[in-house]
Amino acid sequence: MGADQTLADKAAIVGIAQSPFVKNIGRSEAAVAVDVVLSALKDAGIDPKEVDGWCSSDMESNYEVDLAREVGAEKMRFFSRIPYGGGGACAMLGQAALALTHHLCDVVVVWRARNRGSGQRPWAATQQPAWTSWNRPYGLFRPVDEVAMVARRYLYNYGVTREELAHVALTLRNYAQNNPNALTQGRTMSMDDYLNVRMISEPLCLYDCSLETDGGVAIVLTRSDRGKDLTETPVFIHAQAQGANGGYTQMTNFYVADPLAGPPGLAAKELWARSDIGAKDIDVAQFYDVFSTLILFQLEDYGFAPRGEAARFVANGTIALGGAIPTNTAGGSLSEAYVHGFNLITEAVRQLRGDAVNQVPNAQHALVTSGGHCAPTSAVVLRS
Amino acid sequence: MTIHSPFTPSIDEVNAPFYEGAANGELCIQRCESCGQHRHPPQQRCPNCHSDKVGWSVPKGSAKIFSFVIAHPPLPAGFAEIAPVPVALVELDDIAGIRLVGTLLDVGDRTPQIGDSVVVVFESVAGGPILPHYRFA
Repeated sequence: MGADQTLADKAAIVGIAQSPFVKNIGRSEAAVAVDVVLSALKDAGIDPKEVDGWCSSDMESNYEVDLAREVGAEKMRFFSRIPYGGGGACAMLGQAALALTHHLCDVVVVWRARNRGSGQRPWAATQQPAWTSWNRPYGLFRPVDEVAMVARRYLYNYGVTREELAHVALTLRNYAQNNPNALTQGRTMSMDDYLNVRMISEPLCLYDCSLETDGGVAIVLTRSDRGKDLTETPVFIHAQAQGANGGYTQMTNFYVADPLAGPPGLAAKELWARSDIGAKDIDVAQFYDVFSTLILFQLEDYGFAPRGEAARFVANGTIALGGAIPTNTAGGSLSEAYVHGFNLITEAVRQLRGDAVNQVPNAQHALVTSGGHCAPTSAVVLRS
Repeated sequence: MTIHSPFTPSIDEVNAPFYEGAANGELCIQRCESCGQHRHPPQQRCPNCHSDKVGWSVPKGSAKIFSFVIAHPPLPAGFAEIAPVPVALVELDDIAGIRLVGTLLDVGDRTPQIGDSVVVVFESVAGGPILPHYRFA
């Protein structure tokens, strides 16, 4: 361990906002994006005209110039896009921190608006990118099929049962019951519910999959000296990392020597090497969870469980409130909403501000990840 | 980025021999003509020695199941009609370290298992082109 002194804690999250998370928001992604950007700036107490940095996903439909025009920003000095879908969210915080620390700009908005609940399923589009050639024509049509292939091998190697895997979905659904913003609030889940629901791509069932959601999230960052003046509860970017192993293929990692050793292992190594806060110091984690098994891989890759043991840790309450590492405490992508993992960031910020619905007492250090093993990944350590 | 319909692989000068081989009933695996290392999916350069000299090996086509899924709806037309669809990631017996994805055909009542022996077959699945898929040996 050893913090990167040029970056550690030099930038801070000072504003967050999110739209309602629903199946059909009934508005355009453009309208939702403008709403959440303005709301996050209001939360930060920063005049929108001051925004001079923008960062989002290369899948985002709204352009920086359009948002800048909508909010009346006076100039744009930094803008960047991160590829690989859900793998990018934490990397955007990292890019924002880099740009702020090097005085490339003063106020950065990171945002994502996505009508994935009411809009088309990307895998159902009649035009597909070339990399899908090795998957789609053979029947691996959806992200769930690509992830289930590696999940099967993991469950087989370590003798993990469906009853053990179920505890990921059950724990997150339980968190969501206290969260009025969660799509599944009021819909409890029992072990019988889990074991009897329909399979989507065996070994994964419906409840191992994230929620198709319409929604938007925005996050405002500035340099920490100003952040401390703006709010009593700035959330500092302590460390950040991106990672993917050599030989990686989009969404799959099927062709390397060990397909179970994916991007999170590399990102974790980089992250902890740049951080004075280690895994043992993390009070709350938000692991990218587009599918349940990603949480198991990441608990192991980030050092919270020995290889092959994560499912038993989860079954023993490790990721529940009161456990060693409360995880995805708003319900995560499985039970709150799937907004490409951006809602995991806002939940981490609420935990560190002390106003989460499932508050971890005195939470000071949070880990957030993006992408898991099914995309080139990124991660941040946040501290209050 | 090349765009193609989901059932039609994107064929280019690098991977064309794989698809031409499949149409002729041969499984073609790319091989570096300088250092001899095999690789799949096909790519322009050998990651080991960076040579762009390429040959193609034709293994027997026997393999073991490394992992598999069984895909249930919602699936696109073509696969929806034949669901549930077992799809395997197989490891070739005679070229170490090479894996390929294919549909498992004619499984009947048998439940696939990791480690099961399979053989390559060249068929059209779900109305797509003729591609290498697999059957139990």
